[in-house]
Amino acid sequence: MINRLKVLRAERGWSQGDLAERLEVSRQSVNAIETGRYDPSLPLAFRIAELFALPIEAIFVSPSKGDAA
Amino acid sequence: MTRDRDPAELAYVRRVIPTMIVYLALIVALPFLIAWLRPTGPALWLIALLPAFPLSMVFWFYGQFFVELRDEYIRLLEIRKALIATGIVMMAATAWGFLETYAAAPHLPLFAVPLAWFPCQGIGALIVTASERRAMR
Repeated sequence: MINRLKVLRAERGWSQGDLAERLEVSRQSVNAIETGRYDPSLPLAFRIAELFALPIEAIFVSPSKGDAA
Repeated sequence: MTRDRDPAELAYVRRVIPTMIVYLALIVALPFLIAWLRPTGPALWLIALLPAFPLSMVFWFYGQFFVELRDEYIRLLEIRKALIATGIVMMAATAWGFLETYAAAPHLPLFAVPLAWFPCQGIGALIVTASERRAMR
Protein backbone atom coordinates (compact mmCIF):
# COMPACT_ATOMS: atom_id res chain seq x y z
CA MET A 1 0.00 0.00 0.00
CA ILE A 2 1.34 3.45 -0.91
CA ASN A 3 2.07 5.54 2.17
CA ARG A 4 3.84 8.68 3.40
CA LEU A 5 5.69 6.97 6.23
CA LYS A 6 9.17 7.66 4.84
CA VAL A 7 8.40 11.38 4.37
CA LEU A 8 6.82 11.73 7.82
CA ARG A 9 9.74 9.93 9.40
CA ALA A 10 12.28 12.09 7.55
CA GLU A 11 10.45 15.28 8.61
CA ARG A 12 11.08 14.29 12.21
CA GLY A 13 14.67 13.25 11.55
CA TRP A 14 14.02 9.69 12.62
CA SER A 15 15.84 6.68 11.23
CA GLN A 16 13.93 3.49 10.45
CA GLY A 17 15.37 2.12 13.68
CA ASP A 18 14.04 5.11 15.66
CA LEU A 19 10.56 4.65 14.24
CA ALA A 20 10.72 0.89 14.82
CA GLU A 21 11.63 1.50 18.47
CA ARG A 22 8.74 3.93 18.92
CA LEU A 23 6.30 1.47 17.34
CA GLU A 24 7.82 -1.53 19.15
CA VAL A 25 8.35 -3.41 15.90
CA SER A 26 11.48 -4.47 14.01
CA ARG A 27 13.32 -2.19 11.60
CA GLN A 28 12.54 -4.82 8.99
CA SER A 29 8.83 -4.17 9.55
CA VAL A 30 9.24 -0.42 9.12
CA ASN A 31 11.20 -0.98 5.92
CA ALA A 32 8.58 -3.40 4.58
CA ILE A 33 5.73 -0.96 5.32
CA GLU A 34 7.59 2.05 3.89
CA THR A 35 8.39 0.25 0.66
CA GLY A 36 4.83 -1.02 0.32
CA ARG A 37 5.85 -4.67 0.63
CA TYR A 38 3.67 -5.13 3.69
CA ASP A 39 0.33 -3.64 4.66
CA PRO A 40 0.15 -3.22 8.44
CA SER A 41 -2.77 -4.57 10.43
CA LEU A 42 -5.39 -2.06 11.52
CA PRO A 43 -4.05 -1.94 15.13
CA LEU A 44 -0.53 -1.19 13.86
CA ALA A 45 -1.85 1.36 11.36
CA PHE A 46 -3.63 3.11 14.26
CA ARG A 47 -0.42 3.04 16.33
CA ILE A 48 1.42 4.67 13.42
CA ALA A 49 -1.31 7.28 13.00
CA GLU A 50 -1.33 8.05 16.73
CA LEU A 51 2.46 8.38 16.78
CA PHE A 52 2.37 10.97 14.00
CA ALA A 53 -0.86 12.53 15.37
CA LEU A 54 -2.48 12.19 11.97
CA PRO A 55 -5.55 10.36 10.68
CA ILE A 56 -4.78 7.01 9.04
CA GLU A 57 -5.83 8.30 5.61
CA ALA A 58 -3.22 11.06 5.88
CA ILE A 59 -0.52 8.38 6.05
CA PHE A 60 -1.87 5.49 3.99
CA VAL A 61 -3.34 5.99 0.54
CA SER A 62 -6.46 4.02 -0.22
CA PRO A 63 -5.70 1.57 -3.06
CA SER A 64 -8.90 2.74 -4.78
CA LYS A 65 -7.68 6.37 -4.78
CA GLY A 66 -4.40 5.75 -6.61
CA ASP A 67 -1.00 7.38 -6.12
CA ALA A 68 -0.01 9.51 -3.13
CA ALA A 69 0.15 13.24 -3.81
CA MET B 1 19.76 -8.46 7.74
CA THR B 2 19.89 -7.87 11.48
CA ARG B 3 17.08 -7.27 13.94
CA ASP B 4 16.30 -7.42 17.60
CA ARG B 5 15.36 -10.83 18.88
CA ASP B 6 11.70 -11.20 19.74
CA PRO B 7 11.18 -12.70 23.23
CA ALA B 8 8.99 -15.34 21.54
CA GLU B 9 12.11 -16.74 19.81
CA LEU B 10 13.86 -17.26 23.14
CA ALA B 11 10.71 -18.80 24.66
CA TYR B 12 10.50 -21.21 21.70
CA VAL B 13 14.13 -22.31 22.10
CA ARG B 14 13.65 -22.71 25.87
CA ARG B 15 10.68 -25.01 25.25
CA VAL B 16 12.13 -26.97 22.35
CA ILE B 17 15.56 -27.87 23.74
CA PRO B 18 14.38 -29.89 26.79
CA THR B 19 11.58 -31.44 24.72
CA MET B 20 14.04 -32.62 22.05
CA ILE B 21 16.33 -34.01 24.77
CA VAL B 22 13.36 -36.06 26.06
CA TYR B 23 12.59 -37.14 22.47
CA LEU B 24 16.17 -38.28 21.82
CA ALA B 25 16.31 -40.08 25.19
CA LEU B 26 13.09 -41.93 24.30
CA ILE B 27 14.39 -42.86 20.84
CA VAL B 28 17.48 -44.41 22.46
CA ALA B 29 15.60 -46.05 25.35
CA LEU B 30 12.58 -47.40 23.49
CA PRO B 31 14.12 -50.53 21.88
CA PHE B 32 15.61 -51.52 25.25
CA LEU B 33 12.33 -50.78 27.05
CA ILE B 34 10.35 -52.92 24.60
CA ALA B 35 12.91 -55.76 24.76
CA TRP B 36 12.87 -55.63 28.56
CA LEU B 37 9.12 -55.29 29.17
CA ARG B 38 7.96 -57.31 26.13
CA PRO B 39 4.64 -55.48 26.14
CA THR B 40 1.77 -56.53 23.89
CA GLY B 41 -1.53 -55.03 22.77
CA PRO B 42 -2.45 -51.57 24.08
CA ALA B 43 0.64 -51.39 26.33
CA LEU B 44 2.89 -51.85 23.30
CA TRP B 45 0.95 -49.19 21.40
CA LEU B 46 1.31 -46.78 24.29
CA ILE B 47 5.05 -47.40 24.68
CA ALA B 48 5.60 -47.17 20.91
CA LEU B 49 3.80 -43.82 20.93
CA LEU B 50 6.05 -42.30 23.61
CA PRO B 51 8.48 -40.50 21.23
CA ALA B 52 5.53 -39.10 19.28
CA PHE B 53 4.49 -36.97 22.26
CA PRO B 54 7.60 -34.77 22.55
CA LEU B 55 7.89 -34.51 18.76
CA SER B 56 4.25 -33.44 18.49
CA MET B 57 4.81 -30.94 21.29
CA VAL B 58 7.50 -29.24 19.19
CA PHE B 59 4.85 -28.51 16.54
CA TRP B 60 2.58 -27.18 19.28
CA PHE B 61 5.45 -24.93 20.45
CA TYR B 62 5.80 -23.73 16.88
CA GLY B 63 2.16 -22.66 16.94
CA GLN B 64 2.72 -20.91 20.26
CA PHE B 65 5.74 -19.15 18.74
CA PHE B 66 3.59 -17.74 15.93
CA VAL B 67 0.99 -16.52 18.41
CA GLU B 68 3.51 -15.00 20.81
CA LEU B 69 5.58 -13.13 18.20
CA ARG B 70 5.00 -9.42 18.90
CA ASP B 71 6.06 -8.24 15.47
CA GLU B 72 3.37 -9.00 12.90
CA TYR B 73 5.71 -8.68 9.91
CA ILE B 74 8.22 -11.11 11.45
CA ARG B 75 5.26 -13.43 12.12
CA LEU B 76 4.41 -13.28 8.42
CA LEU B 77 8.00 -14.16 7.49
CA GLU B 78 8.08 -17.05 9.97
CA ILE B 79 4.80 -18.40 8.60
CA ARG B 80 6.22 -18.08 5.08
CA LYS B 81 9.25 -20.18 6.13
CA ALA B 82 6.97 -22.83 7.66
CA LEU B 83 4.80 -22.93 4.53
CA ILE B 84 7.86 -23.35 2.30
CA ALA B 85 9.09 -26.19 4.55
CA THR B 86 5.64 -27.81 4.54
CA GLY B 87 5.41 -27.56 0.75
CA ILE B 88 8.85 -29.11 0.24
CA VAL B 89 8.14 -31.97 2.68
CA MET B 90 4.73 -32.69 1.17
CA MET B 91 6.16 -32.75 -2.36
CA ALA B 92 9.06 -34.99 -1.26
CA ALA B 93 6.67 -37.34 0.62
CA THR B 94 4.36 -37.56 -2.40
CA ALA B 95 7.25 -38.27 -4.77
CA TRP B 96 8.79 -40.85 -2.40
CA GLY B 97 5.45 -42.60 -1.97
CA PHE B 98 5.19 -43.18 -5.72
CA LEU B 99 8.84 -44.22 -5.91
CA GLU B 100 8.17 -46.82 -3.20
CA THR B 101 5.05 -48.06 -4.97
CA TYR B 102 6.32 -48.21 -8.56
CA ALA B 103 10.12 -48.08 -8.49
CA ALA B 104 11.00 -50.31 -5.51
CA ALA B 105 12.52 -47.42 -3.57
CA PRO B 106 13.39 -48.40 0.03
CA HIS B 107 10.56 -47.92 2.51
CA LEU B 108 10.86 -44.91 4.79
CA PRO B 109 9.01 -44.77 8.11
CA LEU B 110 6.23 -42.19 8.14
CA PHE B 111 7.84 -40.24 10.99
CA ALA B 112 10.57 -39.26 8.52
CA VAL B 113 8.07 -36.70 7.17
CA PRO B 114 7.79 -34.52 10.31
CA LEU B 115 11.51 -34.99 11.00
CA ALA B 116 12.36 -33.79 7.49
CA TRP B 117 10.25 -30.69 8.10
CA PHE B 118 12.86 -29.24 10.48
CA PRO B 119 15.79 -29.06 8.02
CA CYS B 120 13.35 -27.86 5.35
CA GLN B 121 12.67 -24.90 7.66
CA GLY B 122 16.30 -23.98 6.95
CA ILE B 123 15.57 -23.93 3.22
CA GLY B 124 12.52 -21.75 3.96
CA ALA B 125 14.72 -19.41 6.01
CA LEU B 126 17.26 -19.14 3.16
CA ILE B 127 14.56 -18.31 0.61
CA VAL B 128 12.85 -15.74 2.88
CA THR B 129 16.18 -14.13 3.89
CA ALA B 130 17.31 -13.89 0.25
CA SER B 131 14.00 -12.32 -0.75
CA GLU B 132 14.21 -9.82 2.17
CA ARG B 133 17.78 -8.87 1.28
CA ARG B 134 16.80 -8.29 -2.32
CA ALA B 135 13.83 -6.15 -1.27
CA MET B 136 15.84 -4.06 1.22
CA ARG B 137 18.56 -3.15 -1.32
